[in-house]
Amino acid sequence: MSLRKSPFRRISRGCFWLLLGALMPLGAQSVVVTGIVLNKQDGRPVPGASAYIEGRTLGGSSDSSGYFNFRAGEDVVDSAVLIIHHIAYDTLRMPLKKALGRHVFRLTPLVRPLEKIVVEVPRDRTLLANDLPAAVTIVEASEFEGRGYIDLGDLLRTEKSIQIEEDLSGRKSLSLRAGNPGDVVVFYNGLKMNSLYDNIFDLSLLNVEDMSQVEIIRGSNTALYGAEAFSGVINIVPRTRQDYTARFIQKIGSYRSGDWNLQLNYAPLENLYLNATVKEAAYKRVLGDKSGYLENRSRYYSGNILYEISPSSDAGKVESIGLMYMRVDSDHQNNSFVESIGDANEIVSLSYKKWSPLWQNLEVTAARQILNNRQTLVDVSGTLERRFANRRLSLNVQNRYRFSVLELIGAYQFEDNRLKFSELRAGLDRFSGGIESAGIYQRRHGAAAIARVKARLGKGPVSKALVDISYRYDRVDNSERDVVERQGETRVFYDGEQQRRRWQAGTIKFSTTLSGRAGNLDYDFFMNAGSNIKFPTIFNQISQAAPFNPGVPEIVARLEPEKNRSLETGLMLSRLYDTEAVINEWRLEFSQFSNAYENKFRNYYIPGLPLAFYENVPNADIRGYEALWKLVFLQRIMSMSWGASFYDISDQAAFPFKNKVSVSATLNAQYAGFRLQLKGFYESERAGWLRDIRSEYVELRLPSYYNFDLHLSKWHTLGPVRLFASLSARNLLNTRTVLEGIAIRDRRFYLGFGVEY
Amino acid sequence: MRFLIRAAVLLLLTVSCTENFLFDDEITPVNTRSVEGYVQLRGETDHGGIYVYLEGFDVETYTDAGGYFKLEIPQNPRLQPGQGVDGAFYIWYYVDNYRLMNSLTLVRGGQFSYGHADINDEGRLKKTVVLPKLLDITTSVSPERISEEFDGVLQVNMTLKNLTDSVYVNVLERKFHELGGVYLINNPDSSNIQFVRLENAANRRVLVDSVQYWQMLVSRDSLPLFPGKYEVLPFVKLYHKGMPDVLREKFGSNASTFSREFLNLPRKVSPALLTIGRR
Repeated sequence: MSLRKSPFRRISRGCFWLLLGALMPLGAQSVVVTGIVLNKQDGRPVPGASAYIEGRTLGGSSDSSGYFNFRAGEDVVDSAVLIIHHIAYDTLRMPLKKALGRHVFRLTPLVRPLEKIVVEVPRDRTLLANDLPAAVTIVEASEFEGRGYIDLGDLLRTEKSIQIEEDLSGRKSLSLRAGNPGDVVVFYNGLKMNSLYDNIFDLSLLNVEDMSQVEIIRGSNTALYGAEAFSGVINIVPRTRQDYTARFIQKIGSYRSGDWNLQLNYAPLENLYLNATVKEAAYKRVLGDKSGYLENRSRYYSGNILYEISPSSDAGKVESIGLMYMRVDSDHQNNSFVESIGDANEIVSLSYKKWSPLWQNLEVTAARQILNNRQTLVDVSGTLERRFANRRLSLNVQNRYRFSVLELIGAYQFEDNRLKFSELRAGLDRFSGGIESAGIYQRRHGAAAIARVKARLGKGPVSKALVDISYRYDRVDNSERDVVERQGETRVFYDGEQQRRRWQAGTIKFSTTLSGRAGNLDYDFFMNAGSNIKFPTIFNQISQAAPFNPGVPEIVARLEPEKNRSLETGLMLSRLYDTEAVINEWRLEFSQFSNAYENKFRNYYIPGLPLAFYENVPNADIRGYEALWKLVFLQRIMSMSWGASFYDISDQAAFPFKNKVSVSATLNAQYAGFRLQLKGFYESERAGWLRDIRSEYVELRLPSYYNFDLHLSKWHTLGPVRLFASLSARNLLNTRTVLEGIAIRDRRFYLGFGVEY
Repeated sequence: MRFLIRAAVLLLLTVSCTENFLFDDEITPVNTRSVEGYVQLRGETDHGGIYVYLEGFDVETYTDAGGYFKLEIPQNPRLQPGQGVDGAFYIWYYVDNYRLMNSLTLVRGGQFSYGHADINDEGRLKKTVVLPKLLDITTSVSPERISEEFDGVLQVNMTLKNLTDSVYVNVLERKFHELGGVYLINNPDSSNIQFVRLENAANRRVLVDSVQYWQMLVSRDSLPLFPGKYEVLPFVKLYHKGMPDVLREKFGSNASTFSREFLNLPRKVSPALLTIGRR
């Protein structure tokens, strides 16, 4: 799995240049159509508006700032009509030639009020479009493309509610709302990425340049996407359709890093879109004591084919079929103690969307995923070789019916998982024990139904009320093959003649949302309550039950599902001012939640014994408060935001080393193609309870941390070509570069430049 | 123009790179796998021989004469179970007739967390650990010198004096304060050990809360035949409250009994000297 330069690599690279060269003539001379869509009445940006040329499918949609841009052929400028459409506004039609001379497009709201929830962008653009209301933050490509982020973990590390842990090899795991990494479900294009082994996904494997947005869904109020998301969901939306033919971005920076990314887009037919991306990246951290170096290399490919069988100007009514392929290979070498880690992940998915009076918003997705990992480590004391091979076949069917104010959503999910793992240890342990290798097979069935009532109450203090109730049923069947213990004996892993273990459970959720206006103040209020369930992971299952401790009889080892009951309330207040005023808008968001865990797993190790132990805490709680205040000013050129979160954790052995308090402040400015972002953040002390040899706990407090990031970028249009340059300075206040085991805290600098055709 | 643009794009593509020479940073690897410090015996000038044991990792060492020790977690953290063990681990300091003491260390990701618990930012004990003496054991023999033909009775006297709190000891006793067993260790051939045990002597747990005088009469038959110098050591083993089993077992499962393994225990006891002279 080595990614070192090889003849094959040179040849494949050359092929890409040839492909690009071949594609370039396909792109005709074009113009860039760009602008900001605003609400005509209040001046607020309109996100999610479709901007396109009449009679053609080419176009774009506005981001959370109302900004859109797309390309149109120069030959149509004189005759084409620009359409800007949004379901809650009158559609704007304007000759393209006239539109090219304007920057601001104002839409008149329809009589019915604009649907809003407590999110930074409309919910219908998220993974959870059909799901229950939740607090959602969307990080759009404009906030990270070309900037100095080495991977998704690096990008999300300063986001509110998120905590990233990094190990020496660069592997990154994500926690949300003070939960554990296994409590977050990561989706790539709607496909679950978490490993079958420990329910964790390594965020360093994904290419940020190939993402159109990252959705952070906080809280456990998802019914359609599994009952395991105790603390939230991260959904990565890849770029499947862009208006440029080719884009190339090169970044260089600290640790001798280099990262190039090439994207190609081609539409041979009006309703057929082809897209391909290749990326290669590496960085090398030389150890200051000259004892060696750590080197990371990765190579990433992705491709998409989207065919619109029945194009429609209403994105919700397009009938389409899509094929997606993604592969990433990564390799880590640590030559100071001879370690190598390799990952090879591959996804192929086929999706079909259809709208008809009978099948309203039918979505069917079938996918095959391979998640492989191997680690080899050699030391004077012994050797370690660990391998995981995870294959997942999945099928997801979802449909939505609307009957007047009632909406019914149904979903069925099936997964067929196979995990083969082995961990060979030689000369490392005083005592052998545990499972050395095994093949585990798992089948999961999930079915969910949501009933939603949307009541529009007209003008007044309460203009809209929404009530959701959902039920979800999950069933997991585990079976085994070839389980071998370290002593060399074959053993029966699951008891019983069938050698199977089955769990099943139903969960129910309820939520309500109220929206309205009081004076000049808009408000949204939501309340969610529900239950979730997480079945024991394979890691839990192969761990050893902790011995009974008479000192704490309530702590037992019980291999049963974890349960979670959550209650969350949220309030958003916002006020708009005249677009010509100094201050244009402010918004305040506040949410409070409590997560009550039952049968929470705690794992631990004993030195010299290659076994994990588990035990279960009958009750553990996380309570939290999150707040965000955003101010938009100077004719929307600048915005500032302050975010803060506070978490109270009852059991710091079950949830160790979580930030109790975190605060961030961001200043954004965009003007004449320049974008500037300054971001400061503070994380409080992190406490964890460490077990001593007598199963008593001692608290360890890790120090607080604060730092400061700066990003500056500029896009410049030069005929059919757009040029790009960026400068990123990360952790500017850091005075030393020490690997602390905590997500990328070193001071780093990056330069990026790119070209788009 | 189009040609120039294409040429520029192709130029950019051909300079694509995954490494650069502009940002040649170095990092300092964290290596906190060792702790060091000083342990002293109260009232002594020689602090060597104190047994130092890191529980859990099963790592041990002895102090040098100045009381200095250094312990190191043997394995690279990524080779440890879980790719780096987390936990609270005690370092124990043990000399049998001194108070058993410990220091707390916190281990995260298989390495010591410096600056926490009893370890400072440099990986040293925050304070020198001083072990108070619990029991003073003095032994004498009479006569101190005998000949090969000696056919009388050798008298061994032992005084036990608790120096702080009362302590429990395990001794071999035949009847009240009559010592039931001693070791005779040939000097310099310390592997030549003779066990002198009286009939009907048994292991007893005895409370020492003041000065106690013990005596033992040894007939010539029980003494070594060969001339030489011998150290006379009584069997007195202290009970240490809170002593972990793993530490107790480190010196052998019989170390608490009148056995050869008892002699492996770190102790600070001055033996009586017996000389058996030639004819």
